[in-house]
Amino acid sequence: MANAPSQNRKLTKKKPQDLNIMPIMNMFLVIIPMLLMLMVTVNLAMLAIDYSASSNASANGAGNNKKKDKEKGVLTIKIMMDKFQIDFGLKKKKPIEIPVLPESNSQYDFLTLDKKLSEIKNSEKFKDEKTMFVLAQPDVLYDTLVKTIDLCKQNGFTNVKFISAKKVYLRKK
Amino acid sequence: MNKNMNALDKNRKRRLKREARSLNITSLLDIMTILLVFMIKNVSMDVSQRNAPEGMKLPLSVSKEELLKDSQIVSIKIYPDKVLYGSDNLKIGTPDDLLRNKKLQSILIKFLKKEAAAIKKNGGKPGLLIQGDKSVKCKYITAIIKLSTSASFANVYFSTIKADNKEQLISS
Repeated sequence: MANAPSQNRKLTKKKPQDLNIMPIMNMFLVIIPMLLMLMVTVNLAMLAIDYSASSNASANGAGNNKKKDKEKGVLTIKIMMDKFQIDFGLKKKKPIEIPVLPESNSQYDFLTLDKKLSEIKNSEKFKDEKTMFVLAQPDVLYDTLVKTIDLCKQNGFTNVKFISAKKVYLRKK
Repeated sequence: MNKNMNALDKNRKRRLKREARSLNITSLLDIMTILLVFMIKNVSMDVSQRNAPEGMKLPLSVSKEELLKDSQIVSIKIYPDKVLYGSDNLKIGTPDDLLRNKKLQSILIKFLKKEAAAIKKNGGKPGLLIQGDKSVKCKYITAIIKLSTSASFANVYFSTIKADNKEQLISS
């Protein structure tokens, strides 16, 4: 039996093909790990500090706490251009000086500072002490100041007070 | 004849039904899931998240402290050659101007006082976030802190990059 003309017409029925996403997947598998490796993740942190306007009012002890401070001692780290100086605020105890490392382009000796802070914190007199005053000379770099504050906090001196030196004019005798 | 036509139509429909295949997107979904997990891990919902300022080398620190409760921050960025104020990065001058220019100091105090008043009005505690380059000198930091304390900013924070351990901090 002859088919109707409409049935003879064979519409080109192409099989619907799956979209070939292999090249795209290859690209993803190569580019994404590469991007991940190149990406830099920066973890930001913050350091909280207290600020005291004058070194006289705080580091040397003032007002009612003067007597107590004299007996107990007030810890101060002075950051100078060529050394650290750790002052105990006690007449009998001399300050500890940590000079810069001569062989390494006058870099500060943070390793020794860390050790000394640890020793001070472990000592009988200052084991309960949490306050440390930090005084920096004007030309000391901010990086040094932050590292010093951080080392103080790492060694248990959680209350770090940043003080600025007052200019004191002495009358000529 | 009609019966034959109907049978043929049915076959054609069946064939058409069989031949229609769905797109296999499993692989795409795998990649999208990985990307999504990665993005979720890296995106922070912390309102106080701060980005590292462009072109600034922040100092390192091991300690990582949080803002005080109800604290609202005003940020000042100090580069070696310029000082930027606030989230809009308004250039207010050079670090030397902070020390010497009395007019600039009084303007900055006014700005800070306004900010502090607005923060207190909203029930918050004004805090100052100092984002300083490593190479900036302490005298400029001290100047900014002095100005902020005279504008009733009781809390001061230094922005740093978290170091993994003390050794990394000491050796940097």
